[in-house]
Amino acid sequence: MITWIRKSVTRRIGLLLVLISAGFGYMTYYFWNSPLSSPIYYSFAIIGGFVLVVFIIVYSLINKPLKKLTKQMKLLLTGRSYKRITTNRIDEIGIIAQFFNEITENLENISKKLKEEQRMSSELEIASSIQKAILPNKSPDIPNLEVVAKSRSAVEVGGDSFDFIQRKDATYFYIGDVTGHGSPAALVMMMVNTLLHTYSEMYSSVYDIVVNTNRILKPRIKAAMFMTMVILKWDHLNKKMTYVGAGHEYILIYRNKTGEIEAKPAGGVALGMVPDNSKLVKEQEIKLEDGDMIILYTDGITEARNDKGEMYGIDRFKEAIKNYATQYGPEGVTHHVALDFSQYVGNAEQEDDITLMVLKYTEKKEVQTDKSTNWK
Amino acid sequence: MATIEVVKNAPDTKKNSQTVFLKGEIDRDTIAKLREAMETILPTLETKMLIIDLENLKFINSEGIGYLTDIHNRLNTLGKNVVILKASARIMDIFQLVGLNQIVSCYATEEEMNSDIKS
Repeated sequence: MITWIRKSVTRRIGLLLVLISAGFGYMTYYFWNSPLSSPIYYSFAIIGGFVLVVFIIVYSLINKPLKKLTKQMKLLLTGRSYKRITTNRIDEIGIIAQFFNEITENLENISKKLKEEQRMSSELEIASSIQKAILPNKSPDIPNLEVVAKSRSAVEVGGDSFDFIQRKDATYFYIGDVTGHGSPAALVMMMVNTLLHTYSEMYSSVYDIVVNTNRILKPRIKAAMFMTMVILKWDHLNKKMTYVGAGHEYILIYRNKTGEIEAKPAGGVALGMVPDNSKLVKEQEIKLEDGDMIILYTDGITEARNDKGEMYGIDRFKEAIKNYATQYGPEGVTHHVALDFSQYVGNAEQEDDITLMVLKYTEKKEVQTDKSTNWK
Repeated sequence: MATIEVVKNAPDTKKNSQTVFLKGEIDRDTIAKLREAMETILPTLETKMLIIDLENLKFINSEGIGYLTDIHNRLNTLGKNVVILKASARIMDIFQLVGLNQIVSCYATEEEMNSDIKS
């Protein structure tokens, strides 16, 4: 940091002027009294003196406003409070003063923006941690069912969500995707999460849960926003899986017997689209046999593009599941499908949140090791 | 960069309908322009039916779907209705997944629309 300007150009010029005028003074004095004096020497002295006077005037014209300028600049450089330089000069000094004023104004704006951005990013971090605290970070223990779910947001806070809601004789699983992403999407996702938890305490029918969630959600969100969702209910006692779709992607079912993938449209209409969805959604059953898997996902997976702009697509996704489901359980399927996906997408930027949930029905419960819901 | 073009036809007084053609793509970059164009059309809509022709629409994102639903909901409260015409197979797939086709009537051709509306 510059604390002091040690060398001043104006002071140097001033010193030079003093020296020159002393020289001229001496010369004039010398020739005046000299016997050798001639008119040529006199005119030299007169011209010299005249030039000197002009210099002194110009110097004083520049020196004063320049000092005014440098004073404020010194204050700025040393980090003290400075003022705008008021001048109506239209010469070089005027330009410098103008320049100083504009630069300092920009500086103030930039530092204001920077502070605002710092505040926003720390708020986003808070929002992100709240959201992470709400999404489960561990898979639950459920009779006859093994579950693995993984999610990754494209930005700090995301619009994708999933949860496992455990009640006495049933567990609900849902996966959802709010329009767009970032904070607005995250707020909607939180509302839906809360409503689903609340209504699952009041109703056991997953249909009632979805209809009531939509009824409360619709008037509370922006008109053009919605959330697609599919929610499963696993009845522990009757070993029965039912679901209600709310305009989500396909429900993929891997059939252990045939090794084939079935794609069921989730059906229904997205949450928040209409005030009353009671006639548009319905509860349906998925009949499961030993070793069958249900795969739920968000479109961040199927619509992701690689460097060439080509989409991963549902067919590639189904093929990957089919390949790995014959060899692995939900953990292995999730891991390898995620690997297949990452390899395909390569270095292309992640544009959307991605979430994958795999459930496997086993008549005899196996021990599950990886319960983390975060992708490494 | 994606573009969107909104073209408004003269209203069909016999059928009491107004057709709007959406051409291009509805994505993050164009959604604002679509809104701006539609918001000048909607308040002055005099016909009972708004036909949105998507024959030349190549892409629509979820925000776009949300906005179409919003248009439907708003006109519905005024006793008017929205019809979607000639959406491509790919776009219809998306509408079906989200459930938009259950809220707004979608037709592949004008004939199909006319016969359905008459009956």
